[in-house]
Amino acid sequence: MVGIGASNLRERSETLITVENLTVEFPGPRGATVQAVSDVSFDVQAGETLGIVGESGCGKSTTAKAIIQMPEPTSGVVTYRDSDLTTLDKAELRRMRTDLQMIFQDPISALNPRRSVWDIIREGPEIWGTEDVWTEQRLVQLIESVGIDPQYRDRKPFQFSGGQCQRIGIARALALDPEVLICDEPVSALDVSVQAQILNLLDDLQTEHDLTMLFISHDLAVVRNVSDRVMVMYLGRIAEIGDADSIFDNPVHPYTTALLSAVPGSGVRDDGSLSGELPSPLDPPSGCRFHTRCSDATEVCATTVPEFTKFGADHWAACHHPQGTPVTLRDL
Amino acid sequence: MALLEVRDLAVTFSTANGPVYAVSDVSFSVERGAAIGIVGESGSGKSVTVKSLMNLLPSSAKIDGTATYDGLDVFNLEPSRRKHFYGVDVAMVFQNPMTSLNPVKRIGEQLTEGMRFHRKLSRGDATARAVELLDLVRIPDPAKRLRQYPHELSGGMRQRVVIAMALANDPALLIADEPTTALDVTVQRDILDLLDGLRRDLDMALVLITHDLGVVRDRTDDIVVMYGGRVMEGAPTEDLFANTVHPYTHALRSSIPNMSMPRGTRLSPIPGSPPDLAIAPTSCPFAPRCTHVTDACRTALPATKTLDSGASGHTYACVNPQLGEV
Repeated sequence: MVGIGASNLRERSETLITVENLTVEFPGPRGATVQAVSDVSFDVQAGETLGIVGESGCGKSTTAKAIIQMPEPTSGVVTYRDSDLTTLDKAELRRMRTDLQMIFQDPISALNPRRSVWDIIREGPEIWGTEDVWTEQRLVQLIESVGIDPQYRDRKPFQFSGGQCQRIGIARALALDPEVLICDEPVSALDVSVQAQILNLLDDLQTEHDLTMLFISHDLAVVRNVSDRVMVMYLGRIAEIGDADSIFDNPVHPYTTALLSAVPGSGVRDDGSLSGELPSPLDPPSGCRFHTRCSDATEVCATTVPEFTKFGADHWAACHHPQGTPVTLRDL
Repeated sequence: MALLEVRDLAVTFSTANGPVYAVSDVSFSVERGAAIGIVGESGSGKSVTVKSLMNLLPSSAKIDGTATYDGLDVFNLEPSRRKHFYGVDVAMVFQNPMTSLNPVKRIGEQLTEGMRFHRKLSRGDATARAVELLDLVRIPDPAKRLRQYPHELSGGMRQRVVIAMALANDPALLIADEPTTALDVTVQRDILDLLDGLRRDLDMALVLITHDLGVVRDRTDDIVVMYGGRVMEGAPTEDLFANTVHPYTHALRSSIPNMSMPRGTRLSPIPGSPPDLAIAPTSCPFAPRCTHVTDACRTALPATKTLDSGASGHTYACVNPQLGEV
């Protein structure tokens, strides 16, 4: 959907996180409202990696941050296990956030420059009183497992490269035994040779620590590499969501096709559908928010918000003029 | 004769902790109207190389070697010639358009400044030319844009304005340093296509600097691959991909995920970290990270050799070249 609906959601019993009708708005200039995320519903199963892609300003980071209530969403329900995170009080939320950890785009600014690597990683277990579980020996093992030589544990972040700082940030997150790791553009600031190191590391750690991941990136090749499922966002709404192979091999939404064709060497033909500028989230277009840049748009696109339609076993798109045939239950 | 000929360029910065050997033994040439790509990671010396040509390095930089532009010695220009060299013969576009533009001046004022200074155009003529330029870089409603400030434009539009500024005095050579790195993929393609089209239409040579081999693959005639301040491999673009020789180029290519890889494909990262440029280069800078390293790699600098097979002009600096698939 650059639209609405929740038909893409799976049975609650199968999912770890279920996000329903999530809306995040910020106050804009002169009384206006920035509609960052509008009525978005999706879910994540345990052990799964959900890739979130889209251009800057599409709401991908805001969506992920709204799950951990940073900031609190304007409306909507975020169910993690059995609790609605939007209704938790401060103390409950603090406790819950140890389960949902995050790593960031700029690995250097994500670390306190005045503290040693050892202090940075040990702080979490200290606060939560898990030092008996996270003994010195285990923390050393953790530091080693992310590829940092423990003999440098007393060094400070500026003495490490960007790639090494990202490894330290990952260790800091893992020291809280999280169940979910939210990766917000974790390799965008890294050199290509280091990017592959971090992607392989995340893959290893996901298996080792049984992690569920939300992986946000503007780099489609990276998302293709790591994701089981993919969610394509446009201007605060979901355009297409489902199995990664299904979406990358047979994109249905014109926006997904346009995005794929922009990747150098993707082999996807550029049909020139992505014309014009990204509209402002202060005043998003009516109907399907993509209609102003879509070459297939008709009158209905400007008036009616499209709902999710099913295009495969796990493939949903919200478009009035999809480049594929919807399936009915009988087809499956 | 090539439009730009760089020979044995070396740039050393003197710092409080001793010299930093940012660029060493770099040679390449750019033909009139041609496009070359300089590819490398951070610290490879790609930006320092072009900044030395543009006279943009701090005074702590010591430049050796020669650079000849159309018969002129770029590093020893007459002051009167230099005044009308940068921004006229050679222009440059940078990574972040917001820092290239003055946030408190209108687009029109910034766009006409260079023309009025170099060509002594009147305000009216310069404004007319500015409208033409914005039209050339496909900015809709150019007259309105001239009255706007940079913050009123999107990132892609700002980079178009910066490109228009660079084109103002019809340069024969445009240097673009990571012009699309700060932009979304969709905008990236538009800007790259724009640069490619302008180069052909205006018969202007282009030096495109990037960390992304994919960006230069379809848009350049030649590619120079740099690492640790040195040229690892240089070749006509097609030949570089068809007959990759240098282990670093191989490693760079295989470490990048691409859309045709099935999900979960294990990537082949380059182990280790980039080289410390404070150590004087006496051996191959890639040797500590190279999977094909030999004893000879660690004891002497590899000589630059020419590949016998494939297209002419394919050079590499490696004692243990790996031809074909690795």
